[in-house]
Amino acid sequence: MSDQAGYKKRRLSKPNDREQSPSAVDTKRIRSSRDKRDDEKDKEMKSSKTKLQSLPVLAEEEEIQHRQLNEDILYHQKISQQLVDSITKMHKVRQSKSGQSSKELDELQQSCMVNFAMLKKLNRVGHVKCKIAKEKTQQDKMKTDENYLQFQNLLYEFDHLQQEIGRCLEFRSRDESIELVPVTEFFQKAPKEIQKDIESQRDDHLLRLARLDWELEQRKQLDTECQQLQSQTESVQQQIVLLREQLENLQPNLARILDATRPVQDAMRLPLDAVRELHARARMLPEPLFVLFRQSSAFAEARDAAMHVTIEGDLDMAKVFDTTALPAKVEDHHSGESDDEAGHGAAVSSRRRRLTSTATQARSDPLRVASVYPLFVQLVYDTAAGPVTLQFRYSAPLQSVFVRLASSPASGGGKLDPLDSLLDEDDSGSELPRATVHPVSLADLEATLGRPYRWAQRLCGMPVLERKAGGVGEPRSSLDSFLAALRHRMEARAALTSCIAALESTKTPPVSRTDSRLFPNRVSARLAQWQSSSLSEALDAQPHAAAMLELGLVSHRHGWFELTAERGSAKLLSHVAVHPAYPAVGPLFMVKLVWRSERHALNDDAVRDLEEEINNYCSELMTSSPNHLLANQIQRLLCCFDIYLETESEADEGTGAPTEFPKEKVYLRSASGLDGRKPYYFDPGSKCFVPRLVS
Amino acid sequence: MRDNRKLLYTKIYSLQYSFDEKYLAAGNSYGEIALFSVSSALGADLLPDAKRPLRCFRASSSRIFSLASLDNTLISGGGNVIHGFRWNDLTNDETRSPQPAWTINISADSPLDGVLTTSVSGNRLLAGCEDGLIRSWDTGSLKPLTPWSAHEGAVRALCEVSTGILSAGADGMLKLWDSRSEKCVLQRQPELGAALHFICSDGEWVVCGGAVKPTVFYLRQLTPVQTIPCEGVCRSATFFAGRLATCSSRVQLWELGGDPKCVAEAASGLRWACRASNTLLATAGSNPSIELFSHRGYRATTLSWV
Repeated sequence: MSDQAGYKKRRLSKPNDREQSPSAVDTKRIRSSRDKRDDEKDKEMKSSKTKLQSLPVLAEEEEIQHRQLNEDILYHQKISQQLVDSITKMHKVRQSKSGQSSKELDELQQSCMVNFAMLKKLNRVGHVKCKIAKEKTQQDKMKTDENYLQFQNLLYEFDHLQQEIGRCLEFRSRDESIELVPVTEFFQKAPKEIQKDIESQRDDHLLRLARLDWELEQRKQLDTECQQLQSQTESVQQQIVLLREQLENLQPNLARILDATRPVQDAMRLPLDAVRELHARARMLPEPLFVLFRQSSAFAEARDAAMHVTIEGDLDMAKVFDTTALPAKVEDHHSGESDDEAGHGAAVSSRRRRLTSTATQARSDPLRVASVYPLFVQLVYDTAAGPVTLQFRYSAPLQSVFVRLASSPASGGGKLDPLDSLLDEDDSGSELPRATVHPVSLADLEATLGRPYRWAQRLCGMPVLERKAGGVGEPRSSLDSFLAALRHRMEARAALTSCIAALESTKTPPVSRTDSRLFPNRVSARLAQWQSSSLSEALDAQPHAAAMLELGLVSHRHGWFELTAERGSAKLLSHVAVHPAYPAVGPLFMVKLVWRSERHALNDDAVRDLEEEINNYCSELMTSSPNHLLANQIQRLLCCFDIYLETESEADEGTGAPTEFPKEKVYLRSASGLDGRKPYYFDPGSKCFVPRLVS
Repeated sequence: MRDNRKLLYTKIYSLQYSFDEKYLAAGNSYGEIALFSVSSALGADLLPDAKRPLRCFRASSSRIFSLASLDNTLISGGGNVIHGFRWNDLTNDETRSPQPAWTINISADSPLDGVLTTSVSGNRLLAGCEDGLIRSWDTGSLKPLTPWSAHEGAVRALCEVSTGILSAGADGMLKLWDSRSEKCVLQRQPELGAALHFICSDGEWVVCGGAVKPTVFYLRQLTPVQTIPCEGVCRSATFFAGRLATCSSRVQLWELGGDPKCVAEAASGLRWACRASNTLLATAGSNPSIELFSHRGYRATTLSWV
């Protein structure tokens, strides 16, 4: 019991105390105030413990430590057996019910009690042993934990150190990134003190150090060199700037000198400057114009001093001119193009918009579409009639050269174009010779650009296909023939102008003296009026004009005039179509006679014969000069008019009617041949009128 | 240009069929003869060249006023010269410019007095000239025979009939000549002073006209029977398909009684010449086209000089 009490006390004690057994190792503990209080309490417990130590409980504990487990087990068995025996004895005794029982019972009971006490002790022992064992294991555990922790620490340190080692081993010093010269070279080149031969050959580290040292020195040297060179370049740069300035200043000086020489040039008649400038401009010309310029300037120098060639126009605009502009495409061609981009709907529609805008531009501004090159070649040619100025311009989109007559001595002839049919008969410049589709209407361009004549294309070296069956014409037409044709044309045109002026003013055909032998002395019919007219007017007034138009003898290109002659009550109305190539092609007359009735070529054979007489036999009237053709034709017309009236009157004589026109001309028969031809032809030899004979 | 001008004023004066009526020759005011193929012109296939001459050449140096046919020879007369071309030469393609087989030069006083009309009578070739003479040659030997004076003005037309030779002149006289004696047997004057231009006969009747309206005469006595009321001046007429075809500005077919049968419009200009074959009537005048009419009166086709 007492040990139970003590045991209980011990169980109630704080766990701290339990650990703090006298055999426990007292580890270092950080003292705190609370711990201090605990310590005090521990001290109290300790004091109580010492008191308790005197108790048999503590003595028992010592005893317990010495007991062996096997012995305890045997003792336990023995005790339990004893118990069993006593109990059986007790049982027997109770069974026997004898008087001796109470003493035996009491003895047995005591022995049982003792055994029970022993069992309890054994139990205690067991418990205490357990407790001791547990304490021991606990302590051992703690130790192992500590050791384990230390072990971990050491492992960690080990790892750490290994890492460090590794890092140190991996360390790449900056010196390794420096490219050093190979060792052999080093030994060859480096100075002795850096080399430290013997040592460096043995020790790699020293060798490396030595090499680094040398490298450093070398680099320093090179750096100084670099600085020097840089300063040199800068100085050179400055020099360059200086020289450049000087050069720029030189240019205006030279120009001034050139200006100063100009009067000298003029005095010596060597227009070097002008020629140089002209050649500089010539270099800017597009190819066809250049060809023309070269040809014509060479021609002017070599052959014909009457011709002067210059290049006019805006040089600055020519410099920025975009010569790669494509020819303008017409909307009709668009359907073919859009097939290529069938997949791109948006692209097609945008193209369509752009093309229509080009087309509308073309309608609004044909000059822009024509995209004419700013420079043009100007030819001034002195003819007998006066100076003729021709301007040749080139349009790349239309691929043609346009010719404009800036000034000419021949301004008359109505709307007759002086350059029409200059070398070819049907070359009126009304179509683009090379393009088949016209993006612009040529009539719009006529005022500023002129017309694209085929002879102009040929002069400029651009090939032109001939319409006739003759095949491809020569690519280069000779300048000679062109100038000759131009000369003749201008002279003819001037003559025509003067003739027309005379007709308008004096109302008599200006027949020259030499030509007057072609006509009789007296012509009674008089010219009443001469004025300009047009194709439509002729078609309205003259019934025969339609047949002529069908045969292609007249057209819009002809110059049209209206002529009125009268004699007595008879009136003659005639329309004259003058071909641009007059007098190579004679003028065509359409005649309508009004005398008692309207007579013309379709209803009166005599009038038809009259027309034939005037129209078909022009060569006779050009014996003195081709330029008198028109005047002579008109005079002949008046003579034939006279003859007609007189022969008709003569025929009337037979009927007894009064004759209005007495016979004045000399002729034998008023009608001859099967068809009763009138004697329209005046024979200059016999000086009388005879019917025209075909020879 | 020059050619077109010439074309504009071309007049076709004379027409002549070949003896087998397959070809038609036309002579114009410039002395050219054009040969057309009638069958190809009327053929079913519309070749543009079918309406153009097979060949066209300069036959004479003066206007060709008349064409006549003698056996296998085409006779062209005009100015002072009469040419004879062989039909074989003309239709043969090889010869470029056929040469006349023979040429007769008329010795007239002036070039104005040239041949206006030719005719073949028996074995004689007759030419009526502008000076009023009728000249004649032997067809075989081409020897000139004696000319005789026929009219005061020009001899405009000649026609051979069974009883002799009829001639019409610018003096307005129609005279019948005896072939052998060359004497005027009969003469008539349809109208005073009106020049006559043509004569045509179909054996029983004679029609002549010009400035006067065509008058029908009975051949035997040359008695005037009927006047055809033709519009305008009729320059030429011929018998065609039993009727009389007159050519003025229009081509008309008449019954001899004076009733008009039908009218066909022609091209503009006066019709100078007309010639009839069995099936076709060809007319030509003051423009370079020849019109062919069928006997029903409609225009079959037009041949063009170009």
